[in-house]
Amino acid sequence: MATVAGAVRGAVAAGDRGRTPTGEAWRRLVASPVARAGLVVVAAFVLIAMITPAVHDYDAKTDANLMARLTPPTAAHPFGTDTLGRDILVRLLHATRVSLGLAVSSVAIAAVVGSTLGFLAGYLRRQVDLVLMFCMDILLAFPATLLAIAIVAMIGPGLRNSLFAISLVSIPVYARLSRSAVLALREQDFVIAALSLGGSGRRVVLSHIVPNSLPPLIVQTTLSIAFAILEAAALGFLGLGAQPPTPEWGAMLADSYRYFTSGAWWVFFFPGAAIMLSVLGFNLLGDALRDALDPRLGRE
Amino acid sequence: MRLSGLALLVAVGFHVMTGPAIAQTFVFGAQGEPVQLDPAVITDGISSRITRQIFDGLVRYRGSTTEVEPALAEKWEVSRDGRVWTFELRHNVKFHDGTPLDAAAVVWNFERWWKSNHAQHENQVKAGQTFEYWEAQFGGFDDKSIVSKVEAVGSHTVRITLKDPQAPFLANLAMFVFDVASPKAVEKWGLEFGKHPVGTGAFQFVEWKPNQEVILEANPGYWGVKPRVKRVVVRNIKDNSQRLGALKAGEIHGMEGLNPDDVAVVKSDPSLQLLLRPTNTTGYIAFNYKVKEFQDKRVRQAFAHAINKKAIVDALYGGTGLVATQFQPPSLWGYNRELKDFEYGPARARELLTQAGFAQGLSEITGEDGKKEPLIFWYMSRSRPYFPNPKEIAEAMAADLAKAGIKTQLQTTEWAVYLDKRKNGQLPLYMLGWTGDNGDPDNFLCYFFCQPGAAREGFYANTALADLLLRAQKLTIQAERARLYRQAEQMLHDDVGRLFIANNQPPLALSKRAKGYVPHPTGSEYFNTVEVQ
Repeated sequence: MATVAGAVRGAVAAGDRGRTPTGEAWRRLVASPVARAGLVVVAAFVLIAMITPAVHDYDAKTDANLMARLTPPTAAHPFGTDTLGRDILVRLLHATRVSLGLAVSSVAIAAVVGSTLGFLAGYLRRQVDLVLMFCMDILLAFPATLLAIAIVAMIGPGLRNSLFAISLVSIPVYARLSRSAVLALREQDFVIAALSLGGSGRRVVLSHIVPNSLPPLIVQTTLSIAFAILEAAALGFLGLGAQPPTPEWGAMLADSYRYFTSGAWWVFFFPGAAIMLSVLGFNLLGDALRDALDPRLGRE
Repeated sequence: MRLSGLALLVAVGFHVMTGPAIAQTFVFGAQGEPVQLDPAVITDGISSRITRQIFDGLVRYRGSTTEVEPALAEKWEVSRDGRVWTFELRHNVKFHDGTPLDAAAVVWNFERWWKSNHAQHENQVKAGQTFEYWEAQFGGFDDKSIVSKVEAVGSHTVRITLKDPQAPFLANLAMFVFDVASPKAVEKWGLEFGKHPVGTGAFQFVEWKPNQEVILEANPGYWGVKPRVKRVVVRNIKDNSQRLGALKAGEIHGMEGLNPDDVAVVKSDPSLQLLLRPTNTTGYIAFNYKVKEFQDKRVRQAFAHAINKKAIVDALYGGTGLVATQFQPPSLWGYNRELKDFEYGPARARELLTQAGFAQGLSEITGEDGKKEPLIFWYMSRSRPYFPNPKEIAEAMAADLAKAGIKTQLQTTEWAVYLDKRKNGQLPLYMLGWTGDNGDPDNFLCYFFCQPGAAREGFYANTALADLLLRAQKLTIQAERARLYRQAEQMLHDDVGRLFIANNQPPLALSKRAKGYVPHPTGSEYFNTVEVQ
């Protein structure tokens, strides 16, 4: 009984604040402790990425102090120094912008390109669908990391090229997701109604189909950023991403794992922790978003 | 039957009880996979380490020096004009396949290396197995070669006639490339000989498991110091840290390719010992002289003053490195002790740049076609003895350069591509180095500077230097040659032809159970003296 009463109270309370779907989803999101944790972590990293370059000037090209190399964490260097005597904390903070920027922008490109292709395929069907989805299937047939490595190996290492490679391998997921959303939605009554009322195809797609297929895409975007961070780190680790001396998490890890045997744990621990934390944050947020945006799950 | 079984049991028990048991196998951890095992066509140290166990040459290097001592040739004579060499071969030596080693076999080997119409030479070259070192050490093939005749003048006497005297001739012959192979086996296996090597060495080839290990077995009939272990396994462990892990775990008994920061780890481990190879290696930075900016000597001088070599050597070589002032390492007899190196001074570097017209610093270069492009500083993707951690060293040097106003972009590529680009003169500014093969200054200087304007050397054209080096090659009195090589180093220094950064004494780590390992400056040690307790 109590639960029923609680649910009714909750519903009434929600009703007081106006029950828009977005508001409802947000309310459900912040109600979950997992999501709050994810949000905090993600917000922290985003903040660091945005603020660091504004408040601290760093020239990676001239940064080296061989006299102070491999200093363990101290007050002056809270995360210690690396093999060239560079402050690891400073480089990690500046690397956040590089690594996160790479991940976010590659996912943004992939999401826009991928879902446009998916909408086109789902709406136009026939040959367009066939050809587009065939291409996506080819891309999906390769393990994503391997494909990204192959692409960068072909067009040359560097930040811009790894951005391109990560975007490319992330496109098929969006194409598939948005296509299936269109296919499911176009049979729905409200779409049929809109069409029979004389709405043009383009209008129906833009104002009915696209907005209604956004939730799965939003969830996917968050999860993709986690994947892209790992991907960027993998490319950096292999020396295919950011070129030295640009700080980037994967490259920092690659430069330092060799010190495992000589006991300088701090050189690889902190970059590794940064990768792990950020990926964890985006994954938690993504999972929570999935729950929050799925109306079928309901409350309780 | 029962009795002998019991006797065996007792014998085994007794053996176990009598303490330090002699292990039957020596396992060495290598940095990679051998290319192949035909010594005549390889150039890399990973392959040559293995072929040195299987093959012998006419002569070899003594202990940890590059002095020459007899091997398959027991003694030799040279004519007064230095052109005719007569070698007396050791008797009763057989290749592992039973073929006797005689004058005919040695002559056959020389002809395979030297004559482009020799059936096996032609066959191998067609398949891309080229005799690079023969070409480099003896001037080329057929008529181009400094060798004009090789003949058997008795069953065990070989006479080699040269067109001109060649001072480093014996030292050249002691290189791993000129180890003698069984003619019968080469003919039998053809292009596959590199996978089925047959020589006269202390160990014979058993098996090569690709990407894992090469297994060798003691040759009981070996003419020299009999092997102390029954088997040698050379295991391929690419990663330096992983290899050290295998050594600590007792899976291997010895290894090369130590991370500089692991030198201290090995020193402090009571079960391990650290051995250093005598220095015979120099790492350098080379300019491409097609780049307009590098044609100005003041710019090159600015580079020389900008880089803090001492700080780099102190910090990044694990205590085994030395500051290089010239191309030859200090162990060579042509080394110039009087030479005064460039002093480290970023201010002086800036001043020189300003004088050269780059008051704002240098970050772009002009190619031959007049187009501006960013100044790319190429660094090696692979660790070599002269630059054990090339990326770190490159970053440190680039930071030094940047502090003096020279802003470079670091870039690397796969090792084989890197070497190829260098060979074709496509790298504007790059790091590389050299490990000596035979202890002769000629092997350092002439290989690089005897062909002025070569694309391989970044089109560096110093004709006076080349003339001097070619003259030194033909002299036979060492003191006179040494004087010319010292002069050559001074010329190279005055012209800032190249920036010499560091020499290294490449460290080896061995288990304390392994005894008798003699480190060699060429990097290829003989394993027959090694014992594992």
